[in-house]
Amino acid sequence: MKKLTTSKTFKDAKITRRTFLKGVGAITVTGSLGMAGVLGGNTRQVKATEDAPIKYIHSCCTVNCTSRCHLKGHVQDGRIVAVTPGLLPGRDDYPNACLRAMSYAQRLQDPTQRVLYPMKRVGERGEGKYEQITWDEAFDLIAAKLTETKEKYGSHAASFFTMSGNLAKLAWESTTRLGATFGGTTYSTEGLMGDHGASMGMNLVFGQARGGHDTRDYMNSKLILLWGRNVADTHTSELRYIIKARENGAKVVMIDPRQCSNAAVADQWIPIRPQTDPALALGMMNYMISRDLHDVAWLKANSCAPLLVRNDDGQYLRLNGSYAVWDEKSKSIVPAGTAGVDPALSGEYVAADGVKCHPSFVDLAKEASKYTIAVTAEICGLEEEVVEQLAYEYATMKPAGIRMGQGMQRVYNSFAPFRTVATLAAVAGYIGVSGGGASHMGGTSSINPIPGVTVPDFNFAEWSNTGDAPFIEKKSSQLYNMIENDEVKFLWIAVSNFINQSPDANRVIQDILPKVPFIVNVDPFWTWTAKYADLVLPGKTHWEVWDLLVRSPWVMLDQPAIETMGESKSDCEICSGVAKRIELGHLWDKTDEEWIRTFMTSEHPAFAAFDWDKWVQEGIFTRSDGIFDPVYAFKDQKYKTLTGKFEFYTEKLKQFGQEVPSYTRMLEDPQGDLGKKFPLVCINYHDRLNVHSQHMLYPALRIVSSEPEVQINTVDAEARGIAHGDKVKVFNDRGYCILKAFITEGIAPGITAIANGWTPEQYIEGNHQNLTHLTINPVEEFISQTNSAFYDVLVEIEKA
Amino acid sequence: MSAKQYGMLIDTTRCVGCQTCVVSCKINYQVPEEAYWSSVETIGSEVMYQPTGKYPHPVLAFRPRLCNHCTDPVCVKNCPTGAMHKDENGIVSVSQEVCIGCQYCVWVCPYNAPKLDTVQNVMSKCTFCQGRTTKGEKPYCVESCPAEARIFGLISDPHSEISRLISAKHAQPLLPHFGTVPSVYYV
Repeated sequence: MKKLTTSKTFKDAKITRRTFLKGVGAITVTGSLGMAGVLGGNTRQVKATEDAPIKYIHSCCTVNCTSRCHLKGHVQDGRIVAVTPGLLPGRDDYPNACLRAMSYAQRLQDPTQRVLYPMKRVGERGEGKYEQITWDEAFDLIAAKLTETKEKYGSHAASFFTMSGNLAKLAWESTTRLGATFGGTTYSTEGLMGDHGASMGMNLVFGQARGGHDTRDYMNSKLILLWGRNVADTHTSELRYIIKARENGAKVVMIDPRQCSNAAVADQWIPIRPQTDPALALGMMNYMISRDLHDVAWLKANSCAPLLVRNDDGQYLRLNGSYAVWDEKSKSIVPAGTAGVDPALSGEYVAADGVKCHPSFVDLAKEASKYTIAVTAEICGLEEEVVEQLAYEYATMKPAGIRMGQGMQRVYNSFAPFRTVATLAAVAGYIGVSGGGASHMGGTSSINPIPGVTVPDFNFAEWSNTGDAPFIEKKSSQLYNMIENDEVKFLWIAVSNFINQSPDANRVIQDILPKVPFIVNVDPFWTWTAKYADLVLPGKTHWEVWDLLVRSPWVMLDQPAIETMGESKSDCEICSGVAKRIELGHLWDKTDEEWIRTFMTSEHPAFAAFDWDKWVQEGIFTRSDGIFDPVYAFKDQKYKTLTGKFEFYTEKLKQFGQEVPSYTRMLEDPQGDLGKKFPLVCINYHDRLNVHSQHMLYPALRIVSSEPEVQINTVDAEARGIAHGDKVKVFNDRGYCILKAFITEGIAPGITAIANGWTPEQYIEGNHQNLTHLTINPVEEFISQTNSAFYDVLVEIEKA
Repeated sequence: MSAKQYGMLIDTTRCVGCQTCVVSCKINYQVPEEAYWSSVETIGSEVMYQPTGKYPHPVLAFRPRLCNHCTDPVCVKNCPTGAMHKDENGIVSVSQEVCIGCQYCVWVCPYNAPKLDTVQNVMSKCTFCQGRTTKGEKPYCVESCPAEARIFGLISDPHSEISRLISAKHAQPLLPHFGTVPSVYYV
């Protein structure tokens, strides 16, 4: 028998490097970015031989999808050669490693993609001309700029901005912590990056930003609505359970303007128009309420539905500080929660002081009543039969679970979709019910509280101590305004490809960033953002650092699996280096490994069996109080809202006419004036091959997608003389991009879609963020902060 | 059928077209240049990810493809050098030090499975991950599939899990009329 030689020949170093070099063609990194020296041989030549032993080093994938997978790295000669799923103790069914995790491990070992040395700008911003400097020079420069900023304008004029590029503890928090120890300005980041509408919607009705059902709980569902949530591509580790639930008999319905990947394993695709999700939910509520299919008992017991609202000011009626209900038995207004009462959900009543009032459910039912099947179908761009069938099946296929996704909340009034869809689930009585729910992301806390134990589980005390400086946290939605108002004199950007993932890139590049005198960017890769920084510092990825990620009941470890690329450092090491030069060294006196070791010195009994060496070997620690059976939120029907109930009536929003969930038209309305000029809605969805900009165009992924494309329905393409594969220009008054057209029946007419994450080098010209906008929304600023309405965008498309 | 024959069962009703199988094979074997040992097709469509049918009821479905490790492989029959061969586990492999890269195997294979390694100018192909499976590990494409759409096992053993499922699910091979007796079955 002849010996197979494939493994030997394919691990030849030359081949690997050729593949790398080939991949670089599409990316504008030049010798001036410091690559030439690297390829000339400064970096250790990769040469794996067949005989080199494979050792396994584990890591937690810390990019911001939703899964946080435990990965098993196959390391040979200091290089990750393969990535497979790591074990999840207690859950043999759950290990996962997707194509993104695998390609990322390759991309991060590619010196042509990496920032390798501290690089100081020598050309114009955006030009991409940098010179290599030493770390000492870089630290001294930053220290001088920070000191100057503090002396001239106050420490708050230095801003420290992050997004979610690396969610491990040290990586994600170091930059913010440096800002806090310095007294600089930090940011709550969800608004600008466009995930905050979900949190606002959840907070309004549930009193908490997250909460949901373990995906395995859908084995108890008769119907599953994936509402704006493409689980297959954006929460990949959960896909298998959706499939199993379907094979168990549940009907799976995909609600999405695009026929996304998950639609391939769904029973039905409902091509809803963007931003109209609240209208669909209200139409379904109206269908149920008008046919007595709503769960009256659940609403009375667990929601704000019976609580009386004053007719005069729309605020809840109070009886000696209590909320009040109309008791059908005693025919009187009594404090909410009084034993033995039968609260009304309809009618009008007069309080002792003569104030007329009514149960809040009246307002919800009245709002919903506007949305007949015909009206709903018209708004949502659906056939009436589809809306009616959906409403009927949701009401009668009990229990029905809804998995909500951020796809529906990158819109103006972004708090409405999650709030309204969750209210639909409440009207059906599915909240806190196995197989039901309106879930945001997967699962709930899967640990058992241990009675009597008050010690914290992790030892974060020292890390949490940021000294005496004031902690300043601003809304990320205000970043542009603050910069335009000259409030930002120094900007540190980390774990974020800020320009690529924020709205209105032309505004950012032409109007915003020029007003910042000094910009530092820490990133492992040469991003679009890096090219506008004055100082680019080489960061590290989760395969190269000591760090941890808490995913209850597991604690996962990141540890160095490969040799240091160039002179890269972790975010924490970089922050520590700066801190030592601005008299903050006493707060930053540990190595990354020392920090992680400290965090794990816990006296909590769930950590009694913790062993460092075992953790390093296995990459994962399992708490002894872990729960491994499916759990779901709100089983106890306790809500952290003001009323303590599922709260669809928000009295503080009466002033905006938003006291109950409602539908509002798009800010950029295709049927309004702007729609005459720019008739097509353009969304930028999250695709199968990338999480944001972090995986784009690694060579092995070219088979999945090799360049950005705009998806457009056949009728819209024909009307514009566009054929599949044509080069087209997508534009509006803010900017344009040029890319290929992908003609498909799998998107609603009038809607177009470009995958999020592609960067300018990969476009023929421009970028989709040239089309988007940041429009401050007063209601959202009142609730919390504006959420970028990335999908509330109108464009026109023509052949380029 | 050889005494021992490994095979695969792929449930296309679970496939979402993510190509994790394709990419895991490509990356973990460091398959060079443009070659991929496996692929995914959009059923009924010439363009990947383009559904068939008309809006609002288009159909989107996928079918992963790989070497079928046929019981009667035409690639082996037509290989002029003997590089292409079938081993004792029923796995069809190419000995690259013997192969001259003539590509007869590609021309005759109904599944377009062997791929030219353009760096060495010899053929390369799916090995059913025999280096892994002999250690009791699953093939990369099986282990990485987030939909658990694939099962690998001994189809020559009528009592194996895979044989039982092929029977229970009435799984069928692709293009059986070419007479190569493929070892990959589809639901």
